[in-house]
Amino acid sequence: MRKMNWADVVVLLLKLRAVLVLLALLIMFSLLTPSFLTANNLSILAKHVAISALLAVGMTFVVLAGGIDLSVGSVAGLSGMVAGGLFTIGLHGHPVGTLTAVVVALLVSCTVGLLNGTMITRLGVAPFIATLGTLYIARGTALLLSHGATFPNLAGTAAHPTPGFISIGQSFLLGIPTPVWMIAVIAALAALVARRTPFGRHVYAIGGNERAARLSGIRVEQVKILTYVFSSLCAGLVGLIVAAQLEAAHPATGETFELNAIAAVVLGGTSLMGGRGSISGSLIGACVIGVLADGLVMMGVSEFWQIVIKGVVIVLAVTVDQLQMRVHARLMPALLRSRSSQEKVST
Amino acid sequence: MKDIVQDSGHPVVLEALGMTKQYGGQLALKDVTFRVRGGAVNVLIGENGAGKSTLMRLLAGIEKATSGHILMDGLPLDFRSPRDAATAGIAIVHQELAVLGNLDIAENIFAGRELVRAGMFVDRDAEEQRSGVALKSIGMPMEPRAMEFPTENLSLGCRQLVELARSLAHKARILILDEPTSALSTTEAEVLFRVIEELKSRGVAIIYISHRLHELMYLGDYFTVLRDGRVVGEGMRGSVDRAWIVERMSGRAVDATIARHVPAATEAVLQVAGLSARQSGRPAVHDVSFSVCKGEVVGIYGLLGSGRTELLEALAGLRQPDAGVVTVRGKQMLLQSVTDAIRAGITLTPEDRQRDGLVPDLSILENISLAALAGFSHYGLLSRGDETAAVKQVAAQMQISATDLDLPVTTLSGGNQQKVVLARCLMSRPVVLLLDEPTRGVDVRAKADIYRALRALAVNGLSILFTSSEIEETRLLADRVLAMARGSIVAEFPAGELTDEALFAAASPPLEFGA
Repeated sequence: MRKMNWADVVVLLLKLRAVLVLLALLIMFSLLTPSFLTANNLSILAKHVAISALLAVGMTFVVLAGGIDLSVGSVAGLSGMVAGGLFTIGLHGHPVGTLTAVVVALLVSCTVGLLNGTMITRLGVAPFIATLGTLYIARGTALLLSHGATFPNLAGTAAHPTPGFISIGQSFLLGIPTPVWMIAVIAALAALVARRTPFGRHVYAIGGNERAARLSGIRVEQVKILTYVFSSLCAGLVGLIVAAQLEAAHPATGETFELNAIAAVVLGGTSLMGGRGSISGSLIGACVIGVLADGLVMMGVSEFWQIVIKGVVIVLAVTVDQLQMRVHARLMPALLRSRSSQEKVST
Repeated sequence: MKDIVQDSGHPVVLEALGMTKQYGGQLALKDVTFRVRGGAVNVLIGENGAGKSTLMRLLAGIEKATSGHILMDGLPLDFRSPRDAATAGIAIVHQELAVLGNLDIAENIFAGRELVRAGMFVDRDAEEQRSGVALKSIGMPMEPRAMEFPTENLSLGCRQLVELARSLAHKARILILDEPTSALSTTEAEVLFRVIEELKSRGVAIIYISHRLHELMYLGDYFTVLRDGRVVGEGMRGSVDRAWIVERMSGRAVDATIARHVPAATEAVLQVAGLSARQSGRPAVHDVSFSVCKGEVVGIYGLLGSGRTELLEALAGLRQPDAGVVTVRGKQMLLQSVTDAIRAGITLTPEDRQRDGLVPDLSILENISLAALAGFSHYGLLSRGDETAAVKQVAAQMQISATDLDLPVTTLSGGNQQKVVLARCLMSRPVVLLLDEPTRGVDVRAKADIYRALRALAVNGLSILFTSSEIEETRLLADRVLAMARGSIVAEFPAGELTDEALFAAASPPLEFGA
């Protein structure tokens, strides 16, 4: 076991700061409100967290590569409406099976991501602007599909059966909600891709120095487009989960979801400049936001105060992030010394 | 061995006494005393990490010393910010130029210290007029209209002169030049040297930092050598020679000679025929043809703007050529993208490693393996073991000195960072290695390491094509030299027939300024 000196300890504590904050919140809320640590509440909490975590995981790749995706909330709305429309209206009057509806909804979502990526890489539109554009386009399209109305009864009727659809959002496996399983699997895969595949390394390299990445033969355009497609795919999935949970598709579903996703990514320590951050960080970020919202509701804090507190937490997190980088730079000499002395011991 | 500096009529204007600077647990400067004399060039020499930049940051008020104090004209100074230092008359021209590219010349000269009238409006006329005076005094006369061009359109040499003009417009008495010629061609550097002579005659004290020994010998009046944060030698013009400097800098005599081999006359590995390319619409490379044999090292000597960088970029797939055929080992190459070029066996080490080479957020190891990741993946997953083994091998070959390859690449010195970029190029197993200024901003010892490594690679059959604006480097490294000027190859010299004068004359078109 490696011996740590004080500098290593400080760095480790700073690295784990999001986890520590999460633990502190969990302890605080369970002490303050007895009903916080009940199976029922934790199940509700997990479902909420799953949704913002799914968006945050998709967003992480985009942000790591130096981009941003503002369209995810609208894509979630559009995806639910496409599925709802296919169930309710059908294709040319013919009813549509669950699998077809789900696949088409996800394909439409991916198309938005493809559009984002293409505009950004081939036409040189700034990511903020391109995805702000598709935020409006996707939302408007969702409203147009039903002229602003809701598609109800997605649990299925005799005329329009939707076998299995609502289980996407409502079923349990081994006592754990299906959406939680989904995010667990997707996040594990995403973390593996980020850390252990050439694609993941390429994403970090592009965010760190795009020119150097290009000169290393990395196909920068292709990688960036893929990050936007994946982000939209996650958003599409979120739209389906929400529609399945509510048994209805609302065209307004997902409004401001993009802000929650960005907040989770930033809370998790991913730099908006790109090149630095992790999937696990974003997961923890999503948990912090979810636990904070849920706990404050349980404590009976006013909805307006909740919004203020959320803002304060985000700003604090980024401030600590900046501080951490400075501390890290200052501790570098001490860290280097501890490493080289380790080496002398080991040889 | 005591080095003695006598009084020779140049008054001491600035004294830094007992300067010590500690970063975390590390001492960057240990009790350094440095005297700056007016009307003279005060040279500061040392390898990367010797403490030169730290000392300059203290003098320019960018950082505060842990202990020690600064006297100006015998009076103590206390700088709280770079602004205080500027007010006292100390100006610094950074190694990485601090020109604001989106602003024009006059705006740059007065950035942060705008002239105002009526208490709130920028006095553009006065700024232009005073900028004109400052530019003229350094031999860079500009029409008033030219001052409205954004400075990003100016050549690097011109931008540097703009920075100098800025210092002069604010009546600097002490001017710090940190590696001022690292990005300049020889001709541009000569303009700078004339400006320095002019400033000296006006009594300005110049602190000059550079790795280029011939420049230091030519310009320097007083010499201070730093090593490991201490002053290890002081001398003055006449009592100092190159051997004296190199010995004190490195603590040992550096062997700059390189084992040579005569490449067998083999088949051409790289053939370029009729290549032309543009830079922002204007022709930059014009109808260039040449070839490089297996194991041959070919140097392109050319000044800034000669088209050398554009030529390499076209070969590396970064720049679409207008015309021309490039064949590698007999196969015609697609010049569409960098990926195509790497696949064909051509890879480029860029001139500016900060901008185009390093990914600061990745570790040393990850930076080196970046171009060759496909080779270490099994079923789509990277094998850390394979990656580490391969990187260790190349790192040893390039003599990268790092305690731990998992540390951030930013913890390395400039010379080692350059070796990292080179190592990355080698990992993609090139047939032809392109190098744009392979030792820019690299200390003497790392330079010798890099030369040796490149030579060894050539012996093993790698073909190398490099550009350089240093005659000495070109002579040391190349088997054959092509002189480039105004986008064309104007002369060719086999290594044996190369003289500095002939090469310099061939590559030097008359000096041009402006966009």
